Amino acid sequence: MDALTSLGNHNELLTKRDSKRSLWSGVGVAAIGLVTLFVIAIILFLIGTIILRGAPSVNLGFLSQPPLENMTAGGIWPQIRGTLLLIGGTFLIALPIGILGGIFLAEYAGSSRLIGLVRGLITSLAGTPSIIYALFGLAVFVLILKLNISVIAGWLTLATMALPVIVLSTEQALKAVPNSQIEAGYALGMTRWQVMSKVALPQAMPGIITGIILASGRAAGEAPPIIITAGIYFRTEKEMGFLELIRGATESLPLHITEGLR
Amino acid sequence: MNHSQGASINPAVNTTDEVIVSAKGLRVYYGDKEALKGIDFSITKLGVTALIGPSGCGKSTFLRTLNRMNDRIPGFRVTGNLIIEGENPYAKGVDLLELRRKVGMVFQKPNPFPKSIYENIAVGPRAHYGIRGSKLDQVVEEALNAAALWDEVKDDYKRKSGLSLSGGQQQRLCIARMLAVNPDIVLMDEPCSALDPISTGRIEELIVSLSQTKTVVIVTHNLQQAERVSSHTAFFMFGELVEAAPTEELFANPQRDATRDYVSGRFG
Repeated sequence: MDALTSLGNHNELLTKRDSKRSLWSGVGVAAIGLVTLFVIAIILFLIGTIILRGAPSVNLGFLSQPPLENMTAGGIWPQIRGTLLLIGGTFLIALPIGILGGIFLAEYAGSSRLIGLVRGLITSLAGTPSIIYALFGLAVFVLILKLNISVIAGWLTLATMALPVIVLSTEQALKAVPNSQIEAGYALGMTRWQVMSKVALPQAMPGIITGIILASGRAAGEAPPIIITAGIYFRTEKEMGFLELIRGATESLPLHITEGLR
Repeated sequence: MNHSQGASINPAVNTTDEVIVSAKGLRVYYGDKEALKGIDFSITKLGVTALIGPSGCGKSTFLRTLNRMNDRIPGFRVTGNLIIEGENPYAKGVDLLELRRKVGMVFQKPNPFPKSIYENIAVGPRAHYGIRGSKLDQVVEEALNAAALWDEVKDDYKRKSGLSLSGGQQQRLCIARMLAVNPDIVLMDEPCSALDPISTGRIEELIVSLSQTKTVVIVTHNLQQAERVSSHTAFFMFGELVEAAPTEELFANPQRDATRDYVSGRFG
């Protein structure tokens, strides 16, 4: 007790400290509360506006019928169908390649300079604006490969765009699996592939799915590549076989909304 | 359970003279660093061999060299002679999976898979023996019994996650998982360092009972633990094997100064 006489009556100092602390703590809690309320208010405003103004127009007919009377009446079924068709095909192409690519980078590629370069390129591709992919798709798939403006060209373009996101998120999710789990697998005499498929992949699945959701948002929502490589505002043919459907351009939600706003 | 005295659970462990692991001039490098500097050491069949020594002395490296768990570390190299059950595990064409089936391992921190208790144990026998159905059920139950976990989990081991068990139970689950592939040699890398004294006591009892039918090699920082469970003890320092002897001899009458200083608690 006597050793720290220079502190004097430290109880007084402690009281001062405590009142200061509780003041700042109160200010902090109040600030956080205010910000939270603000965010909730914005979300409620957005959802409320959409429901109040949109709900009266949405019914089964709107979702299941084609547009009528020069796009001013009827429904949006062809656009929904086109968008679903585009996403479905895109993921059929991008998912297997992307996930296998992520597995390769995480577990098999090692850390050579070449692999570092490849990883850097993939990262920058994941951040490349969609208009660049749109022009790439137009040049390569539509013009050079002569696929014309078609669903197939759209699939390939959108798959190119979704790939880097899927590869990177798969790689990161796999690398986040604890080493102790990987060692447990090897110590039991599992093969590299068994460790990957039975230990690492199941644990990485939530992270991989997050990546797929991000990629699908990008693929379905980015207007430029869809408009430039696969889009058509409307068409007159009514019934088509699947092959004709994918060889031709398709209606889609991004294009419909963009055109509708003109 | 009495943890302060050595004699409580260590019976006259039945060891044999048959050498099951033999190292001659074994050197291990991580890049330029020499982690094991020419180890000459034999381990006899059955019983428990404890590896003791200060941190960074090479005891874990030696243990993990036996089932080639160090292979994944970049820059790892091994030279010299190592024979396990008559075979050099580093020879060309060695079946790594078969080596790890024969030489099981339990780690410092319990690492069950985030699956049911049943699935944790079934993984190994499925991969190695291709068994399914009721035969597999039987193996799982036997492994849980051998790891003294059966009575605590028998009601819901097919549904309950391995991660929902306590730390000590998780470690016994990891032991059961290893036993289910029926190894001859059991490597344990500080298996109790993350556990409370009661769980530690149960694992130690388990180690002693396992050593009746399997060769156990355990790395431990706990000298009392080495005294309690092991039949032989090897003291490592600076990547060298300083002294190896029957445990009682090594603790009662160490031949080297460094060993005496370490076992008397003067450093470590």
